[in-house]
Amino acid sequence: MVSYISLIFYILAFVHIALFLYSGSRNVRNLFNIFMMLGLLSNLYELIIRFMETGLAPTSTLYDLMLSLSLSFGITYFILYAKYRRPLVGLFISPFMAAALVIAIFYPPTITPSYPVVDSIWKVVHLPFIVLGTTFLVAAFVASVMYILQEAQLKKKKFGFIFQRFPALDTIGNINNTSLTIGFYFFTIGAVLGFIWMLQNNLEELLSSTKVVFSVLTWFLYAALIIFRRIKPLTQRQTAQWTIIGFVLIIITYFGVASFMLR
Amino acid sequence: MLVVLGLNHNSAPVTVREKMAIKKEDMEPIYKKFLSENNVQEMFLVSTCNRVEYYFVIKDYLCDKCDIHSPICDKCEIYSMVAANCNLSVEDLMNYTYFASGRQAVTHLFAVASGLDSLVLGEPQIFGQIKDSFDISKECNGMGVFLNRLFEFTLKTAKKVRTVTGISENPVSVSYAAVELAKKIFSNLSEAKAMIIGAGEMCELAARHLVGSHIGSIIVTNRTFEKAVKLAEEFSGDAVTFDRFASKLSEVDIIISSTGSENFVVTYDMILDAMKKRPSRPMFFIDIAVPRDIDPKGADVENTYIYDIDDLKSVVEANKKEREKEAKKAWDIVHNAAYAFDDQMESLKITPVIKNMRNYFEEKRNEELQKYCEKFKITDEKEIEHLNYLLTATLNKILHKPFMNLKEHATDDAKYSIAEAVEIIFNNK
Repeated sequence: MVSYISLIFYILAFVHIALFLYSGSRNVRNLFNIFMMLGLLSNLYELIIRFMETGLAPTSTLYDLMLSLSLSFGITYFILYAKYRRPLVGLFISPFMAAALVIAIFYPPTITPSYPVVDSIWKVVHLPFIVLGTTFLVAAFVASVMYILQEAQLKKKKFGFIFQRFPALDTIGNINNTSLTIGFYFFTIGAVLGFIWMLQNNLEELLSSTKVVFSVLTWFLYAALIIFRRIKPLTQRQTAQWTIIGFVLIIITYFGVASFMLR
Repeated sequence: MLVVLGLNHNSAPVTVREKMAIKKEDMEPIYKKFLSENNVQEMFLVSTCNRVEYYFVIKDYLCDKCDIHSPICDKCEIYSMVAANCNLSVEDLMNYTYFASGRQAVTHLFAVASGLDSLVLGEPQIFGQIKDSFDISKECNGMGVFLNRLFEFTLKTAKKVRTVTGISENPVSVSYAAVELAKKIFSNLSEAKAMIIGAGEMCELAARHLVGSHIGSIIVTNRTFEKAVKLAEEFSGDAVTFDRFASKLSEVDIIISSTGSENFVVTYDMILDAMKKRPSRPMFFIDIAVPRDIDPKGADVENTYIYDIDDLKSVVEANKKEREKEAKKAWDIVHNAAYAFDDQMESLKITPVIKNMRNYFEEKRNEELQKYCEKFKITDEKEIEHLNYLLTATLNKILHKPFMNLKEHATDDAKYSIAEAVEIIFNNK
């Protein structure tokens, strides 16, 4: 199955970026990007094939959703790489991509959605935005973790290989800010479309689902963070800390989604 | 054969080094003088603040292991030649210099160009200086086939050392290490502002490194305002009076301080006040003064990073160790390159032999063709051309394998009997 091939590429990519962290070799870094790209292409190929076979949107089943999520992580990585040329973000992103594919492999496409509202057009347009928004917000989380690690090393004056390879503090901060902003806007568009979808269906039942509760909570947290940063400048560290809390909420939301889709 | 006679920071004190040093404008007559010597075929000179080296390509080099006073010793002759040029006695010269010949001399040159023999291990400037030395030699007609090839190998080897190993990656001077650390906070120094507190030598050096790293702008402050103005002018910066610098702190990102003050010049309160005005943008303090100028408690303020001289020294020491590790890899590259150069030069020796053989065979072909045409009264040019084509093609076929074998075995160290040599050359397996 193609998802196995993608998974192998992502695992190879992770191994290479870990080696780059240790050795700093440019060749290893280039190999990482090649494996990421190959993984991404096979991932995309599988989604296209699935669409041509079933005619369903690439977010119809948990299997498709996880494939899309993995693809979206790849797109997020390459957008950030094109802007900042810092491959180490991929050290933390590639495991997410691999994990999404492992979940996909665990829940093969034979399991079809049982929930009655899933075939709405609003869902088809809502989910890609949510998925892309999520992956950018996860990238913001990754940058936040990197920021906290790098800042701690600068404060403690420890200059190991992590310090050497990680980007400068302001670059990590910028990656965080960019990811946060893009992620939030995509997430907001997705949430609005999701709300329209919700209005067309059984509002009461949906409102009581864990997924929706945590989605709204997550959105509010990021909205507060973005608005608060405009009013009173936060330090990059505070931004990083709030982004990490936001990520925890995203994870809970996704568990909600998983239970919802498998219900 | 290549020989080198030279001195550097390890072999000679500065008093001797300055006697041996050669100014650029004095080089041409020296080249003329040495190149007029019978046995010097090619030469080039390297003269930097830490090293002076004479490289000669000597024809029929005999030995350098015999007694220095022996009249047939080439080494002795070279010492005498160089001693006469720099007004030193041969004995003095021998005390302070090193000498190498053949592959050792080639290895030495590759190591020098790669920064392996430099005072600061892996420093990159020497590479440019060696390149310049070759250029001067070219201008003074010192370069021939040997040195041209050596030049190519030297550049290739030094570049390989720099790209394959990390020998010049980690800074090994305090001020440079400080600037490199600043780059770990501000990736683009051209968007950052720096303040230099003090106008001494260390401050000047730090400012030089900052400007070299394209810092956005520099502010200089000093108790003696005139000195601050002078330093600021040198680096196209602004000067502020010492009583006003605290009010400017919040505007700058990097602060480097080195004054002779007994008390803290930048206090905790100053740092706190400055950071209140710029909470989201970090400040990096580098304190290279002893006693310290910047209150270390300032590091407790969020988004501030304070490094003193000991912190920087520990960075430098760690980097030095890192470079020493990389130097081992670099030496492997240098040794391999020296062997490869030797092999190539050896293989070149076979070229005239092959050329002579080819000429001989072609001469015979022409003679036989002429005889044949005369004997059978062949005058038609077309027919002669066809015959010539046939003979040339046969000759090429016959000679191809022996010539290839000759080239392949040209650098063999083993000694062969005539029979063995013929067997190797004509072996068609």
